[in-house]
Amino acid sequence: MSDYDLPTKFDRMIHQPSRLAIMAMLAGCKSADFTYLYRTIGLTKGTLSKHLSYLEERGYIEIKKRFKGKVPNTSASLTPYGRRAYQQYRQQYREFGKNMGED
Amino acid sequence: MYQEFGMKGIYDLDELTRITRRREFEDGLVDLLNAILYLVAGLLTASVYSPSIMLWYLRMLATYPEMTAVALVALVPLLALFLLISKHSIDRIRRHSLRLARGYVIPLHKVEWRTSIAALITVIVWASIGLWGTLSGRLPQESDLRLLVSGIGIAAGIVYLGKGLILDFPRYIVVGSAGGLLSIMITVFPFSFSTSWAVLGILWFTILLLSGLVGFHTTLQAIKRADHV
Repeated sequence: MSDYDLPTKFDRMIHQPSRLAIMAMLAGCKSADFTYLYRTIGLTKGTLSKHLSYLEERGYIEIKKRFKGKVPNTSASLTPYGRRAYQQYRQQYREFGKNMGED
Repeated sequence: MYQEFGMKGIYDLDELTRITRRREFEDGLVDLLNAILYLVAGLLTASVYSPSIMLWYLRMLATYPEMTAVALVALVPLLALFLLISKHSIDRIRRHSLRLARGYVIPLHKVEWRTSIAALITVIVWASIGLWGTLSGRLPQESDLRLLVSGIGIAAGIVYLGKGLILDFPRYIVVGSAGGLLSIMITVFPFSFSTSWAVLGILWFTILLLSGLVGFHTTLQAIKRADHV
């Protein structure tokens, strides 16, 4: 395998910065609610919602919507597939970093 | 490590993961619960090994046999109930009082194996030194038992220090260092085995109580600041 193959092997779904940040945050917990992601990542609610939907559609995360009293609550968690994909992405990035002499 | 440009600036992926993992400990509520557990565990163990308290138990058992027996048997389920209620209360405070301002995270409860193994090795080494010292006559009587208690305190310090370093969480680095170093004191002072347990419980109770209060205060301040923005 040539060193130049690595960038093309990056999972493009995760590679997008906002989605990457969402995946990184969810990798540190069982699940996190929308408020937490919104306040920590700093995207607009609409953009965050859109990225969460993309990730859910492709099976990286699972979204649960329920009501806490009268307040709606949305929480997201990485699926086993999503967790594996994120770990693989980080591994590939490290290898890429080594090849670039940056790690 | 890996950095990417995000909407608000630079994202450090590992830091984002750490931020989420720190969330479990940041508000100090877990520390407050652990502080109570250390105190209860320390004092209970001290009472079991204290001849005077054991004598008092036996006297109570002779005078009020049924009541004392029920009280002793009920102790374990009561402690388990206390633990359950405390965990539920922490969850309730986080869900109802802090969630709207900070969001809600269900933690991973990840075990740091390297830290846990280091802590276990410390206890074994510390206790072995005590045993060897006492058997060879180089250390005074009861030093082996005191070193065991001290080793458990140091191990707790190592666990907090490890967590602090892995999560880049200065409060736990201070807690781990202070707790670990102060636990060494137990070997220096000529405490009895029973008193050593009480000292260990009170020591960790004080440290974790302070840590918990600092964490909770900082969280409330951060919420207030966010509300003003």
